[in-house]
Order: sequence, then structure tokens, then C-alpha cells
Amino acid sequence: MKRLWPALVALGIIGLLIALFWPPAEPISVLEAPRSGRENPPAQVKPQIPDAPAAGPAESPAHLDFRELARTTLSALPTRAQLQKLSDAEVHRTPVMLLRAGQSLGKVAEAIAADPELTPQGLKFYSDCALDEKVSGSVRALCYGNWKKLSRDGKNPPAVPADIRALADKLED
Amino acid sequence: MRSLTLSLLLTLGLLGCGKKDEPVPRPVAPFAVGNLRIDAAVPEAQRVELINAYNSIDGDHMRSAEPELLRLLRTSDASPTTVRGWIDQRAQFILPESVPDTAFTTDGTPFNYQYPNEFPVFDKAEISSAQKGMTVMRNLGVAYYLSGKRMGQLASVNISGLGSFPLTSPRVGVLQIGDGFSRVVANLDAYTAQAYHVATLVHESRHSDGHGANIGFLHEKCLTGDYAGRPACDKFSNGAYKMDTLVIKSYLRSCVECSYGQRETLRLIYLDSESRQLPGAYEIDDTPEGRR
Repeated sequence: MKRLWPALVALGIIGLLIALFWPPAEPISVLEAPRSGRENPPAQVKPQIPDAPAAGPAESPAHLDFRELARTTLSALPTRAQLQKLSDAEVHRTPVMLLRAGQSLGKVAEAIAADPELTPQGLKFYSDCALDEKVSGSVRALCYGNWKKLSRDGKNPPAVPADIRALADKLED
Repeated sequence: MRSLTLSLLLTLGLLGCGKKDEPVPRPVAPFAVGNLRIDAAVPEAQRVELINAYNSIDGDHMRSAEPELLRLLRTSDASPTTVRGWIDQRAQFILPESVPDTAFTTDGTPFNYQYPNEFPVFDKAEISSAQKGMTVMRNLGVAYYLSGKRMGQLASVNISGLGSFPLTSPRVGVLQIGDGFSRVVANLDAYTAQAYHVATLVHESRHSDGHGANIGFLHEKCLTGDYAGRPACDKFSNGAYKMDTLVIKSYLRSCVECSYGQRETLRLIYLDSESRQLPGAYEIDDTPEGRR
């Protein structure tokens, strides 16, 4: 036991010195809390600001699924350039690529109807679709019409051209 | 230039058809549905799809037709009997996609046409017998009729397995079915495919109407939009694409238990057809030319 005394005294002195002279961590204001985990490593932030989201609110599986559905649907929508490449015979009747787009847009509409919490994402999807100048005019009109239907107040509609708006207005619901 | 091209096309067709065809008694069609008689050369897949489409009218899916459709159909209802009857008055023969030169003939007999000096300004692509790409369906009867009219001679259409029939009016009703008729709807559910097909039958039947300069409700080049520069629009507000929109709208209204996919597809077909109305489209007299 006598042999341990010098070691215990040394540890005590070291501990005292650390307590007295170690610089304290600077407090982080909630207002300055980084919103994106890309800017600051979440590990440095999370323990000190438990209520501040590091990378936005956690998305539910439904939201993540919808995000993927929206991404794939938007990227596959028929474009005017694609329609222009079709022959006269193929554009005489509604082309098959528009029929496929209708089916894809049906999956989007179904997902939104099944989960009202997806409404904000749904509005963004329809807005992105309606505003995309490369996309077929009929598809844009359908998306614009769906945006109007989904939006409760109709405020801040996508700024689509007048011909797209006029075409969408021909939809009954 | 257009008339020259058409004349050349017809001349070549006439040279290829050889001697005068003997009048052939009208045989029983090997394949028929309603009043539609199908050329024996039409592939089975297309034939089956066509017969199914025609028979699907009995599903009464146009019962919720709006007054505008009834007005343009000149009917008091859109019951299966009425719709079938309307198509039957305007379509009678179905030719295959690869139409032989011998399908169109004339024996040199002069014929007194109505409105002898009135012809539409048409686009070569709209009226030529051969088209590139996948054809769904189109009305060849009006093209054949106009060819005979330009020559001042009675033309006839030869239907494989059926015989030869004089083209005294576009109402003789000669439609051409293509690979697209079955392929385009390959991934669609039955209801949406039926809507697409019935709208197509009504659309093509509409081309048998009209007279003089407006015969056939021929399509015009689109000025803007998805089909800018293509002969895929109408300057007539009671033309073939308008009929499309009204038929599809009827199917949408009857689509009470439809899935989201069905509804969105039908709505998109509807918008696609609506987009083909040229600005300032106007209504014309749809009285047919000639007598069937």
C-alpha cells in the first residue's frame, strides 16, 4: 500500500492541473447551429444541440420511397424532342410514350392519395414537372392540373406558359 | 406539286393493277365484326384486337357522354347500338398495313362526282398510301375516293377475300389497320385500351364525313407544341381529334372504379387530343359527299 502513495499523489496533482487550466469548449448558439451535416460533422454538433436537426427532419420510409418514385418518374417523362423524332404515322394517334407516362403519373397520384403527408412533396413534384420546358406540353398540363387540384389554397402556382394553363383548364377535375 | 405526287402514285398503282376487274359478288366476309369486314391479310393479332375493341362498345362506357358528343354524333344518346351504328355508317372495310397496289383500281368509267371542282388542300403525308413508322389506324377511303375524283373516274377498292367495291363516297369506309393497333396498347389495362381503340374507331370514321374542300376532315400541320410541323392537328372544331376528346371524356366519366393509373392515362390521352386543336378552330358542315 505504501508503494502506491506516490502514484496516487501524482495522479491527484495531474487531475487538479487539468481541472484548473484546460480551456472550456465554446458554446454553440442554436441560431448558428449548422443545418447541413456536410458543413460540420454531425458528431460535433449533435451532443450539444440535441433538438437541432443536423440534416433536416428524418424522412419516413414513405417519404424516401416517394422521393425515389418522383425522381425516376420525372427523369422518364416524355420530352418534346422525343416526340418530334416520331414519324407522322406514330404521332397521328397518342404515342405510346405518353401512355406510359400516364401510367407512371398514376403511381405518383396514388402514392399522394394514400399518404396526405406526402402533399408537400407531391406539390413539388407536380411543380417541377409542369415547369420543365423539355417535357411534353400535354404532360406539363396534366401536372399543372394536378398541382391545382392538390394545392388547397392555389397560392403561388408554378409559372407555366399560358398555353399550358389553358390546356390544363380543360380538365374536369 | 402535291397533286402531281398523288397522280404519280396513283398512276403507278394503276399500271400495276393490270386489266379491268370483273364485278365480284359480295361474298361473306371471312372475318367480320358488326359491319366491319376485315381483309384476309390483316394479321391475327390486329384482327383479334379490332374485334375486341368493336365488341367492347357493348360495355356501354359512353353512357355518360356529354351533350357536345351527342350533338357531333347527331344522335340522342351514346348507347352501344347508337355508337356502333354511327361507326357502321362510316367504316366498312379494314385493310392491312401493307396495302397492295392492287387495292385501288379504276376501270376508266367516267363518274359524276359531287362538288367536281372542290378539293381539299391536303398534305402528302396525310394521303399517301405508305407511311413510315408504326401505324395504329387511318382512313384510306377518303384518299382513294379523292384519287378517283381527281381522275373523274369511278375508283374501286379490292379487299382480299371479299372482292371489289366501288368508291362512290368516302362513306364506303375503308380503314387501314397497322401494327400499332395492338402494340401501342400492349401494356395497358383492358378499360384504357378499349377507350383508346374506340376513340380511334370514332376518329377514323369521322374522316368519312365532310364534302367538297372540307371532305374527310383532313388533318393540318400543328403550328406549335409537341407536334409542331406535323400533320397531326385539326383546324375544325368538330373534326376527328375533337371526337377523340369527347369519347375519352365519356370513358373518364364512366371510370368510377378506375385506378389512378387508368385515370391519369385517360386524362393524358384527353389532353393530347385537345392539344391538337389549332387556334381559331371552327366548325364545318359534316354532310358527306357522294352515296355509299
